[in-house]
Amino acid sequence: MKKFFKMAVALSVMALAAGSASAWNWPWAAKSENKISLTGSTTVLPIAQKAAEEFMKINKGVEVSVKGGGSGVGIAAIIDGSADIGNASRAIKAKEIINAKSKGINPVGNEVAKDGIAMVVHKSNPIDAITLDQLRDIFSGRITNWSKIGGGSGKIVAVSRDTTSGTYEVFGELVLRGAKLRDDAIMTVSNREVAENVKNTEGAIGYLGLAFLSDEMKVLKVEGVMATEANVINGTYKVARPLYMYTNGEPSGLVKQFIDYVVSSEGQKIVKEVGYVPVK
Amino acid sequence: MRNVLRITAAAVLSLAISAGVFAAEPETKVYGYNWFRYTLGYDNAKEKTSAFEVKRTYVRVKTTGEGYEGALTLDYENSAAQTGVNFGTWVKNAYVDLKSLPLLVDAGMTVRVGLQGVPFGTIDTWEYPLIEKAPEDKLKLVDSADYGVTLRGYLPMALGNFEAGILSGSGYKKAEANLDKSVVASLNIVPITGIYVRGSYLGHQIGEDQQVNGQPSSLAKYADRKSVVLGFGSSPISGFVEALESKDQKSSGKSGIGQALAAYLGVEIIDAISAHAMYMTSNPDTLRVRDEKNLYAIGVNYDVTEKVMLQLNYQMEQDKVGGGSSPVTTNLWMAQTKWSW
Repeated sequence: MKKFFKMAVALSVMALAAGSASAWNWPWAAKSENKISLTGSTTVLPIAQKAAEEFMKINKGVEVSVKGGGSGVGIAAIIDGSADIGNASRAIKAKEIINAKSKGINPVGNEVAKDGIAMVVHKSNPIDAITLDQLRDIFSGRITNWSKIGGGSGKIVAVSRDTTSGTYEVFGELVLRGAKLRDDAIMTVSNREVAENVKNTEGAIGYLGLAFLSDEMKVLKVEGVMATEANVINGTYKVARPLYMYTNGEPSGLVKQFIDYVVSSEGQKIVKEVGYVPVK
Repeated sequence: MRNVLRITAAAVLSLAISAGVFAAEPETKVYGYNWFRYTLGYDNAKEKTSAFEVKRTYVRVKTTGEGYEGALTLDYENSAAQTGVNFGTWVKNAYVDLKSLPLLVDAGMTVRVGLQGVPFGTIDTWEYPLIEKAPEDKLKLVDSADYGVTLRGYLPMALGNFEAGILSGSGYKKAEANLDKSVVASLNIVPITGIYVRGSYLGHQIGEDQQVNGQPSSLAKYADRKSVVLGFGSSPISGFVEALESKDQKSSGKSGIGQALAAYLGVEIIDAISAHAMYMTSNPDTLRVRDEKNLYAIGVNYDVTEKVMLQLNYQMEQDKVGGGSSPVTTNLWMAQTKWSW
């Protein structure tokens, strides 16, 4: 028993010493100072790609590689050290934080943009505002006629993005909240297709990114707040989410330069160009 | 072979049906692993082993739908114990995580029902950086998977996570015939980045299930199992120290108490190459003499491609260490490819 106790104490002290030591690296494993890699969310991908192109134009000799794969892949890449920046269209989960911290990784979320989703109906629809619960009931099939929410008496035609899109993911998380999308929803492959369906169908209701709004459809207030960039930024509009670039610890060196560029006025122009809401 | 095909077909079919029942468009992933191993072994009695084997093949299916996640793992095991059959087939995992149960969903808790990994010590987190099994698996103290229901959740501020539940106590390779159940509980705390502590308990009251239908049962396997793991990670090194204690029924000349201490260390040398070492000393019964065992294992892992890893291991096992005549020493040299697909 004594032998076991002594060994346990000795090994534990060694483990604590090793774990509390700062991260280091072998001399031969030092990373190139001119290269950074990003991987992860397909929602963040257009921002990352365009920003990487522009950043490389400004900084000659610098190589920025960008890959997709999904938010989970991006965060996993930060945890296993296979990328410098992990792109994510959601906040890191408790499970991922625990996994990261256990491995000595300190994930830091750098918010680079916001993704706001507007609710739109046909121009002839008399309603101007809707609640999150009404939206959930419409898109899950509990409400099928506009008369239930004071929007005339026609049948509701729900227009949704396909389930693989990032926009659907946000919609599911913030609006459906666990409910199943109605079986008769029209599934579309792009924001433009949603817009086409809504402007051409009298009883239609759909959702799309703020960058795709036009005068050809009516935008509804959600919980009394209009879907505008200002309301997304100030947090009052509820169907919106932040987009992140995760790093291990506070960014430094070239990684910091890149993230600083993305949140700079030039980088935020790119954010707007590709259809998202700037954070500044 | 026909049985293997039948089981595979039935599993795939049942998964497809369940996917259809749960939600309109769940996301399903099919993936797996295959381990091909060469073992060269000899002991001090000059007995030799030289064997090629496809040690294991896992076929995994994961389905994620609204409010649930289901997983199925088929384990094709190439075991020397199999006679006349090349591969034994086990269903290793077949569980559903229920993620949107009332009251629990707001607390971020899930309930896992079915055949699942046992949340104990390092057995459910061991990713085989060495070819050898996790300490409690190697010592056959705990089954790696079992039938049951567990509650899983997180501590506030992502300070850690916990699992607690009821399991059959018979393990995944046996149909349950015992009356009593095992209880399992694990608490993992990450107080600071780079350090974690996990305490686990698995208890099985040996009592009623000594008899099944009036007949003595050989299934009463567990008494008490305790584990404390102190782990660390600070790139490029990681590792843990684990202390284990087992308590079984006393008998003549036996205390029923066993102890073990294990230490593992892994070091990333470059992106594709890492080195690993494990030491374990165990005393299966504190009253018996010359039943202690030591295990030393070292290995190098090389990622040949993104999907293929080569593992080269040497391990030495010393049996009956506690004094008297020299221990039985077994030396194993192993080379293994792990193909992920």
